[in-house]
Amino acid sequence: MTQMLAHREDAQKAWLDLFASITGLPIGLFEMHGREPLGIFSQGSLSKFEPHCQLIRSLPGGLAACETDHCLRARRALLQHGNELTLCHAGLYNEAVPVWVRGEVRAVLLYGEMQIDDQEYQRRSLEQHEKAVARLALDEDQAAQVRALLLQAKSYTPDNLQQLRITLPKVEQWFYGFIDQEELLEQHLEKVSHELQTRLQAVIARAENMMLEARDLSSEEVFRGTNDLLSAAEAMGTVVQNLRQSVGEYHFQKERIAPLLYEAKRIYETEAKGRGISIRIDLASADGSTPVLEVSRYHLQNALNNLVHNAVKYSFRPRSGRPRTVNIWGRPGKGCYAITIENYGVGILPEEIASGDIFADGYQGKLTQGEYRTGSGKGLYFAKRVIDRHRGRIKASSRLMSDEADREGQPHLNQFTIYLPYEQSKEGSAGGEDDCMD
Amino acid sequence: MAKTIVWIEDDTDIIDPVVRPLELAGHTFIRLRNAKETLEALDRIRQADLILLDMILPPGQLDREFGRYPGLEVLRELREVHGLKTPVVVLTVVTREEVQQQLRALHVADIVYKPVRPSELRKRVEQVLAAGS
Repeated sequence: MTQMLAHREDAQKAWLDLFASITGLPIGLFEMHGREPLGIFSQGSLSKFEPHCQLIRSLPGGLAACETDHCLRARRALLQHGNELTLCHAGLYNEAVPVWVRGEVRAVLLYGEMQIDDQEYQRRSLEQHEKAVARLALDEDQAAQVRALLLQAKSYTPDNLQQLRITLPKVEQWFYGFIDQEELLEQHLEKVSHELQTRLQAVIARAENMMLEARDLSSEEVFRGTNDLLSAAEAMGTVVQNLRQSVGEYHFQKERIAPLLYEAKRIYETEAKGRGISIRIDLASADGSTPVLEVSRYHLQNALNNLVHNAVKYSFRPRSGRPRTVNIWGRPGKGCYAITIENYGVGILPEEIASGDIFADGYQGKLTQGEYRTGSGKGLYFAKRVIDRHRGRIKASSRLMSDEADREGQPHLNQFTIYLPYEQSKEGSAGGEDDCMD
Repeated sequence: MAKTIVWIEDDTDIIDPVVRPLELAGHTFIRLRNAKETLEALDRIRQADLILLDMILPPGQLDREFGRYPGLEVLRELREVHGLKTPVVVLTVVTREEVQQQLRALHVADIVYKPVRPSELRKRVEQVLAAGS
Protein backbone atom coordinates (compact mmCIF):
# COMPACT_ATOMS: atom_id res chain seq x y z
CA MET A 1 0.00 0.00 0.00
CA THR A 2 2.83 2.42 0.89
CA GLN A 3 4.48 1.53 -2.42
CA MET A 4 1.28 2.33 -4.27
CA LEU A 5 1.06 5.72 -2.57
CA ALA A 6 4.68 6.53 -3.41
CA HIS A 7 4.09 5.48 -7.00
CA ARG A 8 1.03 7.63 -7.17
CA GLU A 9 2.89 10.66 -5.80
CA ASP A 10 5.67 10.16 -8.35
CA ALA A 11 3.11 10.12 -11.13
CA GLN A 12 1.48 13.29 -9.81
CA LYS A 13 4.84 15.09 -9.63
CA ALA A 14 5.67 14.03 -13.18
CA TRP A 15 2.42 15.54 -14.36
CA LEU A 16 3.04 18.74 -12.37
CA ASP A 17 6.52 18.95 -13.93
CA LEU A 18 5.00 18.62 -17.37
CA PHE A 19 2.58 21.46 -16.72
CA ALA A 20 5.29 23.68 -15.27
CA SER A 21 7.67 23.08 -18.18
CA ILE A 22 5.00 23.77 -20.80
CA THR A 23 3.44 26.84 -19.20
CA GLY A 24 6.37 28.22 -17.22
CA LEU A 25 4.06 28.45 -14.22
CA PRO A 26 4.61 26.82 -10.83
CA ILE A 27 1.76 24.53 -9.80
CA GLY A 28 0.82 22.72 -6.62
CA LEU A 29 -1.67 19.91 -6.07
CA PHE A 30 -3.61 19.87 -2.81
CA GLU A 31 -5.69 17.04 -1.35
CA MET A 32 -7.40 16.85 2.01
CA HIS A 33 -5.61 14.57 4.44
CA GLY A 34 -7.72 14.40 7.54
CA ARG A 35 -8.65 18.00 8.30
CA GLU A 36 -5.76 19.71 6.52
CA PRO A 37 -4.90 20.07 2.86
CA LEU A 38 -1.58 18.55 1.93
CA GLY A 39 0.26 20.01 -1.04
CA ILE A 40 2.66 18.54 -3.56
CA PHE A 41 5.04 20.67 -5.59
CA SER A 42 7.35 18.92 -8.02
CA GLN A 43 11.01 19.97 -8.39
CA GLY A 44 10.24 21.38 -11.82
CA SER A 45 7.45 23.39 -10.29
CA LEU A 46 9.58 24.72 -7.43
CA SER A 47 12.14 25.92 -9.96
CA LYS A 48 9.42 28.02 -11.63
CA PHE A 49 8.60 29.98 -8.45
CA GLU A 50 8.75 33.71 -9.07
CA PRO A 51 11.93 35.41 -7.76
CA HIS A 52 9.56 37.44 -5.56
CA CYS A 53 8.23 34.25 -3.94
CA GLN A 54 11.67 32.70 -3.64
CA LEU A 55 12.89 35.75 -1.78
CA ILE A 56 9.88 35.85 0.57
CA ARG A 57 10.35 32.15 1.34
CA SER A 58 14.00 32.69 2.20
CA LEU A 59 13.28 35.44 4.74
CA PRO A 60 12.65 34.70 8.45
CA GLY A 61 9.04 33.58 8.83
CA GLY A 62 8.52 33.75 5.07
CA LEU A 63 8.39 30.01 4.32
CA ALA A 64 5.90 29.31 7.12
CA ALA A 65 3.76 32.24 6.00
CA CYS A 66 3.72 30.97 2.40
CA GLU A 67 2.84 27.39 3.37
CA THR A 68 0.10 28.46 5.76
CA ASP A 69 -1.30 30.74 3.09
CA HIS A 70 -1.26 27.94 0.48
CA CYS A 71 -3.18 25.64 2.82
CA LEU A 72 -5.76 28.26 3.70
CA ARG A 73 -6.48 29.03 0.06
CA ALA A 74 -6.49 25.37 -0.92
CA ARG A 75 -8.94 24.51 1.88
CA ARG A 76 -11.24 27.33 0.81
CA ALA A 77 -11.12 26.18 -2.79
CA LEU A 78 -11.76 22.55 -1.76
CA LEU A 79 -14.83 23.61 0.18
CA GLN A 80 -16.21 26.13 -2.28
CA HIS A 81 -15.87 23.85 -5.31
CA GLY A 82 -15.59 26.56 -7.92
CA ASN A 83 -12.73 28.05 -9.95
CA GLU A 84 -11.33 31.04 -8.16
CA LEU A 85 -8.64 33.64 -8.71
CA THR A 86 -6.95 33.90 -5.33
CA LEU A 87 -4.56 36.48 -4.00
CA CYS A 88 -1.64 35.11 -2.04
CA HIS A 89 -0.53 36.68 1.24
CA ALA A 90 2.36 38.48 -0.51
CA GLY A 91 0.39 39.96 -3.39
CA LEU A 92 0.56 37.58 -6.35
CA TYR A 93 -2.40 35.88 -7.98
CA ASN A 94 -3.02 32.16 -8.30
CA GLU A 95 -5.75 30.22 -10.00
CA ALA A 96 -7.48 27.66 -7.80
CA VAL A 97 -9.06 24.92 -9.89
CA PRO A 98 -10.99 22.06 -8.23
CA VAL A 99 -10.61 18.59 -9.69
CA TRP A 100 -13.93 16.77 -9.93
CA VAL A 101 -14.12 12.97 -10.02
CA ARG A 102 -17.46 11.17 -9.89
CA GLY A 103 -19.29 14.19 -8.58
CA GLU A 104 -16.82 14.88 -5.83
CA VAL A 105 -13.99 17.42 -5.52
CA ARG A 106 -10.91 15.25 -4.98
CA ALA A 107 -8.20 17.88 -5.11
CA VAL A 108 -7.45 21.46 -6.02
CA LEU A 109 -4.71 22.86 -8.24
CA LEU A 110 -3.09 26.15 -7.35
CA TYR A 111 -0.96 27.62 -10.07
CA GLY A 112 0.30 30.95 -11.30
CA GLU A 113 2.16 33.39 -9.06
CA MET A 114 1.29 36.19 -11.43
CA GLN A 115 0.16 39.72 -11.80
CA ILE A 116 -3.02 40.53 -13.68
CA ASP A 117 -2.86 43.12 -16.37
CA ASP A 118 -5.64 45.23 -14.88
CA GLN A 119 -5.54 48.38 -12.68
CA GLU A 120 -7.88 47.19 -9.96
CA TYR A 121 -6.14 43.82 -9.64
CA GLN A 122 -2.79 45.57 -9.43
CA ARG A 123 -4.06 47.91 -6.72
CA ARG A 124 -5.23 44.98 -4.61
CA SER A 125 -1.97 43.19 -5.22
CA LEU A 126 0.07 46.09 -3.86
CA GLU A 127 -2.22 46.49 -0.86
CA GLN A 128 -1.83 42.82 0.05
CA HIS A 129 1.90 43.00 -0.51
CA GLU A 130 2.28 45.90 1.96
CA LYS A 131 0.46 43.93 4.62
CA ALA A 132 2.85 40.99 4.14
CA VAL A 133 5.86 43.29 4.39
CA ALA A 134 4.52 44.61 7.70
CA ARG A 135 3.75 41.13 9.07
CA LEU A 136 7.20 39.84 8.18
CA ALA A 137 8.75 42.99 9.68
CA LEU A 138 11.08 43.51 6.71
CA ASP A 139 13.67 46.23 6.88
CA GLU A 140 13.78 48.98 4.23
CA ASP A 141 16.21 47.20 1.93
CA GLN A 142 14.32 43.92 2.07
CA ALA A 143 11.00 45.71 1.53
CA ALA A 144 12.39 47.55 -1.52
CA GLN A 145 13.77 44.32 -2.95
CA VAL A 146 10.55 42.33 -2.66
CA ARG A 147 8.50 45.24 -4.02
CA ALA A 148 10.72 45.48 -7.08
CA LEU A 149 10.39 41.75 -7.68
CA LEU A 150 6.60 41.95 -7.23
CA LEU A 151 6.37 44.52 -10.02
CA GLN A 152 8.55 42.38 -12.29
CA ALA A 153 6.40 39.22 -11.83
CA LYS A 154 4.98 37.81 -15.03
CA SER A 155 1.69 39.34 -16.01
CA TYR A 156 -1.36 37.76 -17.60
CA THR A 157 -4.41 39.22 -19.17
CA PRO A 158 -7.83 37.89 -18.14
CA ASP A 159 -8.06 36.17 -21.58
CA ASN A 160 -4.83 34.21 -21.04
CA LEU A 161 -6.19 33.04 -17.73
CA GLN A 162 -9.42 31.87 -19.30
CA GLN A 163 -7.45 29.69 -21.73
CA LEU A 164 -5.59 27.98 -18.92
CA ARG A 165 -8.82 27.52 -16.98
CA ILE A 166 -10.37 25.59 -19.86
CA THR A 167 -7.42 23.28 -20.56
CA LEU A 168 -6.08 22.40 -17.18
CA PRO A 169 -9.02 20.64 -15.45
CA LYS A 170 -9.52 18.26 -18.40
CA VAL A 171 -5.95 17.04 -18.15
CA GLU A 172 -6.18 16.67 -14.42
CA GLN A 173 -9.47 14.79 -14.65
CA TRP A 174 -7.82 12.34 -16.99
CA PHE A 175 -5.09 11.84 -14.45
CA TYR A 176 -7.56 11.46 -11.59
CA GLY A 177 -9.49 8.95 -13.62
CA PHE A 178 -6.56 6.60 -13.11
CA ILE A 179 -6.38 7.36 -9.41
CA ASP A 180 -10.08 6.71 -9.18
CA GLN A 181 -9.80 3.33 -10.88
CA GLU A 182 -6.94 2.41 -8.59
CA GLU A 183 -8.98 3.29 -5.53
CA LEU A 184 -12.06 1.47 -6.80
CA LEU A 185 -9.92 -1.61 -7.34
CA GLU A 186 -8.48 -1.33 -3.85
CA GLN A 187 -11.94 -1.00 -2.32
CA HIS A 188 -13.21 -3.91 -4.38
CA LEU A 189 -10.30 -6.10 -3.27
CA GLU A 190 -11.02 -5.18 0.32
CA LYS A 191 -14.69 -6.16 -0.06
CA VAL A 192 -13.76 -9.44 -1.69
CA SER A 193 -11.15 -10.15 0.96
CA HIS A 194 -13.69 -9.41 3.65
CA GLU A 195 -16.23 -11.79 2.16
CA LEU A 196 -13.68 -14.59 1.74
CA GLN A 197 -12.09 -14.10 5.13
CA THR A 198 -15.50 -14.17 6.81
CA ARG A 199 -16.36 -17.49 5.17
CA LEU A 200 -12.93 -18.88 5.95
CA GLN A 201 -13.36 -17.81 9.56
CA ALA A 202 -16.56 -19.86 9.72
CA VAL A 203 -14.76 -22.94 8.36
CA ILE A 204 -11.79 -22.62 10.71
CA ALA A 205 -13.96 -21.94 13.74
CA ARG A 206 -16.23 -24.92 13.13
CA ALA A 207 -13.32 -27.21 12.36
CA GLU A 208 -11.37 -26.37 15.49
CA ASN A 209 -14.41 -26.55 17.74
CA MET A 210 -15.25 -30.00 16.40
CA MET A 211 -11.68 -31.16 16.83
CA LEU A 212 -11.51 -29.97 20.43
CA GLU A 213 -14.92 -31.36 21.37
CA ALA A 214 -14.80 -34.55 19.28
CA ARG A 215 -14.47 -36.96 22.20
CA ASP A 216 -17.63 -35.65 23.85
CA LEU A 217 -19.85 -35.54 20.77
CA SER A 218 -22.56 -38.04 19.88
CA SER A 219 -22.58 -39.42 16.35
CA GLU A 220 -25.60 -37.23 15.58
CA GLU A 221 -23.69 -34.15 16.75
CA VAL A 222 -20.68 -35.19 14.69
CA PHE A 223 -22.92 -35.55 11.66
CA ARG A 224 -24.49 -32.14 12.18
CA GLY A 225 -21.13 -30.51 12.90
CA THR A 226 -19.45 -31.90 9.79
CA ASN A 227 -22.50 -30.94 7.74
CA ASP A 228 -22.19 -27.37 9.03
CA LEU A 229 -18.50 -27.42 8.23
CA LEU A 230 -19.16 -28.71 4.73
CA SER A 231 -21.82 -26.03 4.22
CA ALA A 232 -19.44 -23.31 5.39
CA ALA A 233 -16.78 -24.53 2.95
CA GLU A 234 -19.24 -24.74 0.07
CA ALA A 235 -20.56 -21.27 0.78
CA MET A 236 -16.97 -20.12 0.48
CA GLY A 237 -16.72 -22.00 -2.79
CA THR A 238 -19.66 -20.02 -4.14
CA VAL A 239 -17.92 -16.76 -3.24
CA VAL A 240 -14.77 -17.90 -5.04
CA GLN A 241 -16.76 -18.96 -8.08
CA ASN A 242 -18.41 -15.51 -8.23
CA LEU A 243 -15.02 -13.84 -8.46
CA ARG A 244 -13.83 -15.73 -11.48
CA GLN A 245 -13.77 -13.97 -14.82
CA SER A 246 -14.06 -17.26 -16.66
CA VAL A 247 -16.51 -19.77 -15.20
CA GLY A 248 -15.35 -22.82 -17.09
CA GLU A 249 -16.98 -24.84 -19.82
CA TYR A 250 -20.67 -25.54 -19.61
CA HIS A 251 -21.73 -29.20 -19.78
CA PHE A 252 -25.41 -29.52 -20.44
CA GLN A 253 -27.25 -32.68 -19.58
CA LYS A 254 -30.65 -33.64 -18.28
CA GLU A 255 -30.82 -33.16 -14.52
CA ARG A 256 -33.52 -33.25 -11.90
CA ILE A 257 -33.82 -29.71 -10.62
CA ALA A 258 -34.91 -30.59 -7.08
CA PRO A 259 -31.50 -31.79 -5.80
CA LEU A 260 -29.88 -28.51 -6.87
CA LEU A 261 -32.40 -26.51 -4.89
CA TYR A 262 -32.15 -28.79 -1.86
CA GLU A 263 -28.37 -28.50 -2.01
CA ALA A 264 -28.61 -24.69 -1.98
CA LYS A 265 -30.96 -25.00 0.99
CA ARG A 266 -28.53 -27.31 2.81
CA ILE A 267 -25.58 -24.95 2.31
CA TYR A 268 -27.36 -21.90 3.76
CA GLU A 269 -29.68 -23.56 6.26
CA THR A 270 -27.39 -23.08 9.25
CA GLU A 271 -26.95 -19.40 8.48
CA ALA A 272 -30.69 -19.10 7.92
CA LYS A 273 -31.46 -20.78 11.26
CA GLY A 274 -29.06 -18.39 12.94
CA ARG A 275 -31.24 -15.56 11.63
CA GLY A 276 -34.46 -17.35 12.63
CA ILE A 277 -35.39 -18.10 9.03
CA SER A 278 -36.58 -21.36 7.53
CA ILE A 279 -36.28 -22.33 3.87
CA ARG A 280 -39.21 -24.08 2.17
CA ILE A 281 -39.22 -25.73 -1.24
CA ASP A 282 -42.27 -26.75 -3.26
CA LEU A 283 -41.76 -27.93 -6.83
CA ALA A 284 -44.64 -28.77 -9.10
CA SER A 285 -44.56 -30.43 -12.47
CA ALA A 286 -47.15 -31.07 -15.14
CA ASP A 287 -47.26 -34.80 -14.54
CA GLY A 288 -46.41 -34.88 -10.80
CA SER A 289 -42.86 -36.08 -11.41
CA THR A 290 -39.73 -34.20 -10.37
CA PRO A 291 -38.95 -31.62 -13.03
CA VAL A 292 -36.04 -32.49 -15.32
CA LEU A 293 -34.19 -29.79 -17.27
CA GLU A 294 -31.17 -29.73 -19.53
CA VAL A 295 -28.69 -27.72 -17.46
CA SER A 296 -25.01 -27.28 -16.71
CA ARG A 297 -25.23 -28.56 -13.16
CA TYR A 298 -22.08 -26.97 -11.74
CA HIS A 299 -22.97 -23.52 -13.00
CA LEU A 300 -26.64 -23.62 -12.21
CA GLN A 301 -25.87 -24.88 -8.70
CA ASN A 302 -23.74 -21.80 -8.07
CA ALA A 303 -26.39 -19.51 -9.54
CA LEU A 304 -29.06 -21.01 -7.27
CA ASN A 305 -26.69 -20.82 -4.29
CA ASN A 306 -26.36 -17.08 -4.89
CA LEU A 307 -30.09 -16.52 -5.20
CA VAL A 308 -30.92 -18.55 -2.10
CA HIS A 309 -28.13 -16.91 -0.11
CA ASN A 310 -29.33 -13.43 -1.07
CA ALA A 311 -32.84 -14.35 0.02
CA VAL A 312 -31.51 -15.50 3.40
CA LYS A 313 -29.05 -12.65 3.83
CA TYR A 314 -31.54 -9.89 3.10
CA SER A 315 -34.46 -11.34 5.05
CA PHE A 316 -35.59 -9.48 8.10
CA ARG A 317 -35.23 -11.38 11.32
CA PRO A 318 -38.43 -12.67 12.94
CA ARG A 319 -40.18 -10.33 15.33
CA SER A 320 -42.75 -11.01 18.04
CA GLY A 321 -42.89 -14.68 17.23
CA ARG A 322 -43.63 -14.09 13.54
CA PRO A 323 -41.66 -16.72 11.66
CA ARG A 324 -39.79 -15.76 8.54
CA THR A 325 -39.50 -18.07 5.58
CA VAL A 326 -37.63 -18.05 2.33
CA ASN A 327 -40.05 -19.71 -0.07
CA ILE A 328 -38.88 -21.50 -3.17
CA TRP A 329 -41.40 -22.87 -5.59
CA GLY A 330 -41.39 -24.11 -9.14
CA ARG A 331 -44.04 -24.44 -11.78
CA PRO A 332 -44.05 -25.67 -15.35
CA GLY A 333 -44.59 -23.17 -18.16
CA LYS A 334 -44.72 -23.38 -21.94
CA GLY A 335 -41.32 -24.63 -23.04
CA CYS A 336 -39.70 -23.75 -19.74
CA TYR A 337 -39.76 -24.24 -16.02
CA ALA A 338 -40.10 -21.25 -13.65
CA ILE A 339 -38.42 -21.25 -10.26
CA THR A 340 -39.26 -18.44 -7.85
CA ILE A 341 -37.26 -17.56 -4.76
CA GLU A 342 -39.14 -15.27 -2.42
CA ASN A 343 -38.17 -13.51 0.80
CA TYR A 344 -39.50 -10.83 3.13
CA GLY A 345 -36.94 -8.20 3.99
CA VAL A 346 -34.72 -5.51 2.50
CA GLY A 347 -36.16 -4.25 -0.74
CA ILE A 348 -34.91 -3.28 -4.17
CA LEU A 349 -35.74 0.11 -5.65
CA PRO A 350 -38.00 0.04 -8.73
CA GLU A 351 -35.46 1.97 -10.78
CA GLU A 352 -32.75 -0.56 -9.96
CA ILE A 353 -34.95 -3.32 -11.33
CA ALA A 354 -36.15 -1.36 -14.35
CA SER A 355 -32.62 -0.39 -15.37
CA GLY A 356 -31.18 -3.83 -14.71
CA ASP A 357 -28.60 -2.29 -12.38
CA ILE A 358 -29.15 -4.98 -9.76
CA PHE A 359 -27.60 -7.48 -12.15
CA ALA A 360 -24.57 -5.31 -12.89
CA ASP A 361 -21.13 -6.46 -11.81
CA GLY A 362 -20.30 -5.16 -8.33
CA TYR A 363 -23.63 -3.42 -7.87
CA GLN A 364 -25.14 -3.39 -4.39
CA GLY A 365 -28.70 -2.25 -3.97
CA LYS A 366 -29.11 1.14 -2.36
CA LEU A 367 -31.52 -0.16 0.26
CA THR A 368 -28.97 -2.74 1.43
CA GLN A 369 -26.31 -0.19 2.20
CA GLY A 370 -27.52 0.81 5.62
CA GLU A 371 -27.94 -2.72 6.81
CA TYR A 372 -25.46 -5.02 5.17
CA ARG A 373 -21.77 -4.93 4.36
CA THR A 374 -20.64 -8.45 3.59
CA GLY A 375 -20.84 -9.05 -0.10
CA SER A 376 -18.96 -8.11 -3.23
CA GLY A 377 -21.98 -7.38 -5.41
CA LYS A 378 -21.09 -10.32 -7.64
CA GLY A 379 -23.83 -12.82 -6.79
CA LEU A 380 -26.66 -11.58 -9.00
CA TYR A 381 -24.26 -10.70 -11.80
CA PHE A 382 -22.94 -14.26 -11.76
CA ALA A 383 -26.42 -15.76 -11.53
CA LYS A 384 -27.65 -13.77 -14.53
CA ARG A 385 -24.64 -14.78 -16.63
CA VAL A 386 -25.39 -18.43 -15.93
CA ILE A 387 -29.10 -18.08 -16.65
CA ASP A 388 -28.40 -16.18 -19.85
CA ARG A 389 -26.07 -18.96 -20.90
CA HIS A 390 -28.89 -21.41 -20.25
CA ARG A 391 -31.01 -19.35 -22.65
CA GLY A 392 -33.24 -18.54 -19.74
CA ARG A 393 -34.44 -15.33 -18.15
CA ILE A 394 -34.43 -13.88 -14.68
CA LYS A 395 -37.00 -11.42 -13.41
CA ALA A 396 -37.04 -9.51 -10.16
CA SER A 397 -39.82 -7.82 -8.25
CA SER A 398 -39.86 -6.06 -4.91
CA ARG A 399 -43.17 -5.01 -3.38
CA LEU A 400 -43.22 -2.52 -0.53
CA MET A 401 -45.24 -4.02 2.33
CA SER A 402 -45.79 -0.88 4.37
CA ASP A 403 -47.40 2.53 3.89
CA GLU A 404 -44.16 4.45 4.32
CA ALA A 405 -43.09 6.65 1.42
CA ASP A 406 -39.42 6.11 2.20
CA ARG A 407 -38.45 2.53 1.41
CA GLU A 408 -35.34 2.52 3.54
CA GLY A 409 -35.62 -0.03 6.34
CA GLN A 410 -39.12 -1.02 5.24
CA PRO A 411 -40.22 -4.62 4.59
CA HIS A 412 -40.51 -5.75 1.02
CA LEU A 413 -41.74 -8.96 -0.53
CA ASN A 414 -39.01 -9.82 -3.00
CA GLN A 415 -39.18 -12.40 -5.73
CA PHE A 416 -36.56 -13.59 -8.17
CA THR A 417 -38.01 -15.84 -10.85
CA ILE A 418 -35.82 -17.73 -13.26
CA TYR A 419 -37.23 -19.26 -16.39
CA LEU A 420 -35.21 -22.15 -17.74
CA PRO A 421 -35.94 -23.98 -20.99
CA TYR A 422 -36.46 -27.71 -20.64
CA GLU A 423 -33.99 -28.31 -23.41
CA GLN A 424 -31.08 -26.41 -24.84
CA SER A 425 -31.10 -25.67 -28.58
CA LYS A 426 -29.44 -28.41 -30.64
CA GLU A 427 -27.74 -25.70 -32.74
CA GLY A 428 -26.24 -24.31 -29.55
CA SER A 429 -27.30 -20.76 -30.31
CA ALA A 430 -29.17 -18.55 -27.89
CA GLY A 431 -32.94 -18.75 -28.22
CA GLY A 432 -35.40 -15.88 -28.26
CA GLU A 433 -38.01 -14.90 -25.73
CA ASP A 434 -40.52 -17.35 -27.22
CA ASP A 435 -38.44 -20.25 -25.97
CA CYS A 436 -39.46 -19.51 -22.43
CA MET A 437 -42.81 -17.95 -21.74
CA ASP A 438 -44.99 -17.55 -18.67
CA MET B 1 -14.34 -15.50 36.43
CA ALA B 2 -17.16 -15.01 33.92
CA LYS B 3 -17.27 -11.66 32.17
CA THR B 4 -19.65 -9.78 29.89
CA ILE B 5 -18.40 -9.17 26.38
CA VAL B 6 -20.08 -6.89 23.84
CA TRP B 7 -19.48 -8.26 20.36
CA ILE B 8 -20.03 -5.67 17.62
CA GLU B 9 -20.16 -7.68 14.39
CA ASP B 10 -22.72 -7.98 11.59
CA ASP B 11 -21.72 -11.51 10.49
CA THR B 12 -22.40 -13.37 13.73
CA ASP B 13 -24.78 -15.65 11.82
CA ILE B 14 -21.78 -16.92 9.89
CA ILE B 15 -18.92 -16.75 12.35
CA ASP B 16 -20.65 -17.30 15.67
CA PRO B 17 -18.61 -20.48 16.33
CA VAL B 18 -15.47 -18.36 16.76
CA VAL B 19 -16.63 -17.31 20.25
CA ARG B 20 -17.77 -20.77 21.35
CA PRO B 21 -14.77 -21.48 23.62
CA LEU B 22 -15.37 -18.11 25.31
CA GLU B 23 -19.04 -18.98 25.84
CA LEU B 24 -18.11 -22.44 27.13
CA ALA B 25 -15.75 -20.72 29.58
CA GLY B 26 -18.79 -18.96 31.00
CA HIS B 27 -18.53 -15.50 29.45
CA THR B 28 -21.76 -13.81 28.41
CA PHE B 29 -22.11 -12.14 25.02
CA ILE B 30 -24.16 -9.15 23.98
CA ARG B 31 -24.32 -9.07 20.20
CA LEU B 32 -24.74 -5.78 18.35
CA ARG B 33 -24.98 -5.83 14.60
CA ASN B 34 -24.41 -2.32 13.30
CA ALA B 35 -23.21 1.15 14.22
CA LYS B 36 -26.67 2.47 15.03
CA GLU B 37 -27.49 -0.43 17.36
CA THR B 38 -24.17 0.06 19.10
CA LEU B 39 -24.61 3.77 19.71
CA GLU B 40 -28.12 3.13 21.05
CA ALA B 41 -26.89 0.50 23.50
CA LEU B 42 -24.49 2.66 25.50
CA ASP B 43 -25.95 1.66 28.87
CA ARG B 44 -25.39 -2.01 28.13
CA ILE B 45 -21.92 -1.34 26.78
CA ARG B 46 -20.94 0.55 29.92
CA GLN B 47 -21.75 -2.57 31.98
CA ALA B 48 -19.53 -4.77 29.82
CA ASP B 49 -16.02 -5.91 30.70
CA LEU B 50 -14.72 -5.98 27.14
CA ILE B 51 -15.73 -4.94 23.62
CA LEU B 52 -14.96 -7.20 20.67
CA LEU B 53 -15.23 -5.05 17.58
CA ASP B 54 -15.16 -5.44 13.80
CA MET B 55 -14.12 -2.53 11.56
CA ILE B 56 -16.45 -3.25 8.67
CA LEU B 57 -19.98 -2.77 9.94
CA PRO B 58 -23.23 -1.63 8.42
CA PRO B 59 -24.21 1.85 9.55
CA GLY B 60 -27.72 0.66 10.34
CA GLN B 61 -29.17 3.89 8.99
CA LEU B 62 -28.48 5.97 5.93
CA ASP B 63 -28.82 9.52 7.26
CA ARG B 64 -25.38 9.53 8.81
CA GLU B 65 -21.98 8.97 7.16
CA PHE B 66 -19.69 6.53 8.92
CA GLY B 67 -16.97 6.38 6.30
CA ARG B 68 -15.24 3.28 5.07
CA TYR B 69 -14.72 1.74 8.51
CA PRO B 70 -17.78 2.35 10.66
CA GLY B 71 -16.29 0.26 13.47
CA LEU B 72 -13.47 2.76 13.76
CA GLU B 73 -15.87 5.70 13.86
CA VAL B 74 -18.02 3.98 16.44
CA LEU B 75 -14.99 3.35 18.63
CA ARG B 76 -13.91 6.96 18.27
CA GLU B 77 -17.33 8.11 19.40
CA LEU B 78 -17.41 5.69 22.32
CA ARG B 79 -14.01 6.90 23.48
CA GLU B 80 -14.05 10.60 22.68
CA VAL B 81 -17.70 11.55 23.03
CA HIS B 82 -18.92 9.11 25.65
CA GLY B 83 -15.67 8.69 27.56
CA LEU B 84 -15.80 4.90 27.53
CA LYS B 85 -12.66 3.24 28.86
CA THR B 86 -13.76 -0.38 28.38
CA PRO B 87 -10.95 -2.56 26.96
CA VAL B 88 -11.38 -3.21 23.26
CA VAL B 89 -10.17 -6.14 21.20
CA VAL B 90 -10.55 -5.59 17.47
CA LEU B 91 -11.40 -8.70 15.43
CA THR B 92 -11.14 -7.77 11.78
CA VAL B 93 -9.85 -8.50 8.28
CA VAL B 94 -8.66 -4.89 7.85
CA THR B 95 -4.87 -4.67 8.00
CA ARG B 96 -4.31 -1.16 6.59
CA GLU B 97 -1.52 0.64 8.40
CA GLU B 98 -3.38 3.91 8.78
CA VAL B 99 -6.28 2.05 10.42
CA GLN B 100 -3.88 0.31 12.83
CA GLN B 101 -2.44 3.70 13.79
CA GLN B 102 -5.87 5.12 14.48
CA LEU B 103 -6.82 2.09 16.54
CA ARG B 104 -3.68 2.41 18.66
CA ALA B 105 -4.46 6.08 19.18
CA LEU B 106 -7.87 4.98 20.48
CA HIS B 107 -6.17 2.66 22.97
CA VAL B 108 -7.34 -0.70 21.71
CA ALA B 109 -5.87 -3.48 23.82
CA ASP B 110 -5.34 -5.95 20.97
CA ILE B 111 -5.96 -6.41 17.25
CA VAL B 112 -6.78 -9.93 16.09
CA TYR B 113 -6.93 -10.68 12.38
CA LYS B 114 -9.52 -13.00 10.86
CA PRO B 115 -9.44 -15.86 10.35
CA VAL B 116 -8.42 -16.89 13.84
CA ARG B 117 -8.80 -20.15 15.68
CA PRO B 118 -11.44 -19.96 18.42
CA SER B 119 -8.88 -21.16 20.98
CA GLU B 120 -6.50 -18.36 20.01
CA LEU B 121 -9.26 -15.78 20.23
CA ARG B 122 -10.15 -17.06 23.68
CA LYS B 123 -6.52 -16.76 24.78
CA ARG B 124 -6.17 -13.19 23.48
CA VAL B 125 -9.47 -12.01 24.93
CA GLU B 126 -8.80 -13.56 28.33
CA GLN B 127 -5.36 -11.97 28.43
CA VAL B 128 -6.97 -8.58 27.97
CA LEU B 129 -9.67 -9.36 30.52
CA ALA B 130 -7.02 -10.40 33.04
CA ALA B 131 -5.01 -7.25 32.39
CA GLY B 132 -8.17 -5.20 32.83
CA SER B 133 -8.89 -6.87 36.16
